[in-house]
Amino acid sequence: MNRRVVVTGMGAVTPLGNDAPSTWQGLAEGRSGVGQLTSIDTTGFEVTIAGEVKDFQLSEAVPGSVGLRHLLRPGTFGVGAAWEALRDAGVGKETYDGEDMGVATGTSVDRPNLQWLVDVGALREETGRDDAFVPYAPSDALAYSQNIGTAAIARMLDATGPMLGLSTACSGSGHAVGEAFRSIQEGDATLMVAGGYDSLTSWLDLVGFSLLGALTKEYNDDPQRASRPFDGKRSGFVLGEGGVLFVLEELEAARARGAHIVAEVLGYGTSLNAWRVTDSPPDGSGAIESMQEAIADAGLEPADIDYVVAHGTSTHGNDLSETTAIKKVFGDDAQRLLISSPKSMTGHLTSAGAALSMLTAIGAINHGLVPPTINQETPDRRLDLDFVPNTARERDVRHALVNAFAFGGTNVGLVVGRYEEKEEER
Amino acid sequence: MTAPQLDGGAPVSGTGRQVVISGIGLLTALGEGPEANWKALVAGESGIGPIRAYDPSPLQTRLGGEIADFDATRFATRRQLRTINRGDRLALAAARLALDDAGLPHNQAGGDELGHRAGLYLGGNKSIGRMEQLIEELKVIRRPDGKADLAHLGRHGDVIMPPLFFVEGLQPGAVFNISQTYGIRGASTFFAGYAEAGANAIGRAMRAVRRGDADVAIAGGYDDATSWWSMTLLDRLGVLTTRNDRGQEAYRPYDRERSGAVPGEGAALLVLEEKQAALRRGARIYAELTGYGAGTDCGTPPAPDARGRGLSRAVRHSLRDARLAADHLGYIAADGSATRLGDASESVALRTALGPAARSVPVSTVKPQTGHLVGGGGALNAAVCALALHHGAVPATLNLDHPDPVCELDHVRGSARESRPSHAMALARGIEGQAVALTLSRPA
Repeated sequence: MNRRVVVTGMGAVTPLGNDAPSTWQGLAEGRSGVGQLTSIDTTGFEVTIAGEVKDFQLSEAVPGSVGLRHLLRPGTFGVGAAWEALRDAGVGKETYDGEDMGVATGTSVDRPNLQWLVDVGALREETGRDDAFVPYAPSDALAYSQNIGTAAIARMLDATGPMLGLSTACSGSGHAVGEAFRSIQEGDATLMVAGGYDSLTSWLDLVGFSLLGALTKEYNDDPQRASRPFDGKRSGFVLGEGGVLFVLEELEAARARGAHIVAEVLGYGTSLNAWRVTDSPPDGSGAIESMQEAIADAGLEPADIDYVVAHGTSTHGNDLSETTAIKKVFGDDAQRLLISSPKSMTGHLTSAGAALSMLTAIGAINHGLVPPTINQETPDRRLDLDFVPNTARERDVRHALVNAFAFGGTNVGLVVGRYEEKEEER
Repeated sequence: MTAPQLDGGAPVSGTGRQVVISGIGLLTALGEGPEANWKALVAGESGIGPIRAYDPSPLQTRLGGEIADFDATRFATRRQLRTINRGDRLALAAARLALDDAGLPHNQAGGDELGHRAGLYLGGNKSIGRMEQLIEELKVIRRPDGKADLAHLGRHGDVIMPPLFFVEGLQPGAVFNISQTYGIRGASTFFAGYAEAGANAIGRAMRAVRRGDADVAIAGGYDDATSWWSMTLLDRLGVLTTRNDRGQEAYRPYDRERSGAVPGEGAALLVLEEKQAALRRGARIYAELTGYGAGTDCGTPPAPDARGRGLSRAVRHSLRDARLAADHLGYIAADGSATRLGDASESVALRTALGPAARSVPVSTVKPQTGHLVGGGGALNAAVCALALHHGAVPATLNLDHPDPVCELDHVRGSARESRPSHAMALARGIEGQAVALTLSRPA
C-alpha cells in the first residue's frame, strides 16, 4: 500500500500575479497576463511580446532574502514562490526533522550573456585564435549553476533530504512534482517542496524559438490575443516566465499536524515520444501513454476524470496531436470532459508550465470552477472538444489530469484529486 | 550518532521486484567499455594530461582527462550528429555500448525497438550546444564601442543564429537522441547538475523498475567537462586544482597536499533490468542495485557543510533502502573532490553514517585516473562498484601518498586490493550540496 501524498501549500509568481491567490483570480477571470516584453529592448525583433512577471522584487517579497543577491531572475521567482508555499502550508524549519524534508524542481540553466559572447568574438578576432575565451568570474559561475535557486529553497527550510534538480524543458515541473510524489510515496521524505521556475525570455529564446517557427509573430500589436490554444487562428506559442511551487506532504504526517489539505496527488506517468525533437507525433502517441499511465497509477478510469488541464501551447502541431490523444484516451467520453489551457492567459512558463497547470487543477477542485481557454474566436473543426471557451465554468471537479509535453519528447501526466478521507480513517 | 539500525522505519516501495545491472557502457580517458576501463583502473593508469582539444591558457586549471580518439560516427549518423554536441555524443555512444554489453537485442542490431516497457533516466551538466559558429556570427552585432547591438540581432537573428543551434542546445538532448535511436518510449526523466545528477538518474530508474513502471532502463550520467565552455563555468568555482605543474599527480583526494579536482570527460550508462527477466534471458549480471538515498548539505555553495549532513543522510537512507547494516559494506566508491573541505566533510559524513564500520570499509576513488566526470561522476562510481563486485577487487586511490588525518578512513592506496565485497556503495556530491548514495550487492 502506497503512502498517500497531499498538497498543503501553494506559491506562485506568474504573469497574472505575484502570489497564488492573485494568479488563481486571474485564471478564473480569464484575464491575460501577456504584454510587450520589457526585460530586453525588443526593437527589431520578430516577436516583441511575452507573459512577463511584473514588479516582483525578491527582497520585498521575502523578508531576509538579502543574502540571495546572487540569484538570477528565474531563481528569484522560485524562491519567492517556495516561500509563499511554505507560509501557506504553515511549514517551517521545525515542522519536521530537516532530514525528512526535500526539494524537487524543474528549471533551465540560464542563457549565456550576450555581451560575453560578443566580447569573446572580439577577442578571437584580435588574437587571431578561434579558440580564445574568457572564463566566468566565480560569482557568475555560481549564479549560472543549474540548481543554485533550488539550493536556496532547501536552505530556507534547512531541508537536508533529497534535492532533485530536473531539467526537461517544458515538462520540467511536471517531472519534479511527479518525482517528489514518488519520493514521499516510497518513504524517501515526508515533505517535498516541488514545482518549477523559469524565465526563457532572453534574446536567445526570442531568436531561437522564432527560428524553429514555434512562436507566434502575428499578435505583437495585440498581445493579449496572441496565445489562443485550440483556436483556428492559433499561430504559435507565447513565451512566459514565472515560478510555481507546492508543499507536498505524506498524508498521515500532514493530518497529525493539522495541516489544511487542498488536494491529493494521485497519479504520475511519464513517456517518451522517440519521434522528432520539436514535433509531437500527429497520432498522439507518447501523450496517450503519459495520460494512461497517470490515470492507471491513480487507480482510476478515464471516466473518473472531470477536467483536463491541457498542455495547450497554441502551436498548430501540439494542439492537434493533444486533441487526438485526448480522444484516444477518453473515447466517446471526451465530449463530456472540460479541457482548458492556462497558457492562453499566461503564455508558456516553460519549466514552470506544468506546475501552473497543477495550480489551475487544484483551484478548479477547490472552487468548483474551471478556468477558461481564452481567445476562442474561430473554431478549428478538427478540435471539436469542450475547451471551456473564454469564460470560466462552474463544475464539480473531483479528479483532474494535468498534461505536460516538451521538446525532446518527454511527456508527463499528473492526476490530482479532491482530498477525501477513506472509510478506514474516519 | 550510531550506526544505522534495521529499524523497520518507513518501508521503501516494495513490489518484490529486484533490479540488476546487466550492462555497462563506459567511455573515459582510460578507454572504452567496462573491460578496458577496469583493466586500466586496477593497473593504476592515469588518463590525465594537459588539455589538448583547445588552447587552455585562459584557464587556471589546464589539466583534464580527455578522450583523444572518440569517433562519434560509429554511434550515430552524420545527419544526427549535426544537432548533437560532444557531451550528448558521449551519452549516445555509451548507450550503445551498454546495450551491446548487456546483450540486449535492439533495433540498431537487427532487433526490435525497446518500446514502452523500456525507461531512460539520464543526468548531466549540459547547458547549451556548440557555440563556435554563434560567436562567429555574433561578430556582426558588435558596435564600434564594443557593445552588443541588440536591435541588429533582432532584425537579423534568423541569419545570425545557426539554424540548428537551439535544437542542439536542448538540455535533455541526450534523452531525445537515445530514445529516438532505440525507440525507447517508457518512463523517463533528466537530472541536471553535478555528480549527483547521473546518480539520481540511476536511483530513480532503479525505483521505476522496482515499482514496475519499466522492465528495463538505460540510466547514468555523462559530461563533456573538459570542453572550453564547461571549463568557462567550472574554472573559477574554486573546486579545481591549479597545480598544473604536478600533471598526473595534481589530483590527490584525501592527501595532505590535495588542492582540488581535475575535470574529465566521459559517460557511464548502465542497463538496469528486472532480475527475473534478466535471469530468464540468461544475462550476465554484474550486480544487484539494492539501495538509493539522497540528501542535501544546506551549506553555502560551493562549500559543503563541514559535517557533510547531506551525504550522511544519503548513506543512511541508501542502507535502509537496501535493508543492509553498515558493517556489511565491503567497498565505497567515494566522491573524493580533493578540495580541503570536500574531502574532510566527506570523511566526517562517512564516519557519522557508518559508525564503527567506517574504520573497516575499504574506500577509494578512481577520479584521479579518469578526472572528475562532473555530471557523470556519480554514475561512474556506480559502474566501478558493479565492476568491483563482479571482479572481486577494489581499485586504489591514486596519489594518496600522505593521507590527511582529518580524512581518516580505510583508504585503498598504492595498488588495487584483492577483495570479495558482497556489498558496495557509490557516492556522489554536487556543488550546491546535493548528495546521493547507491548501494550495490553481489548477486546471490
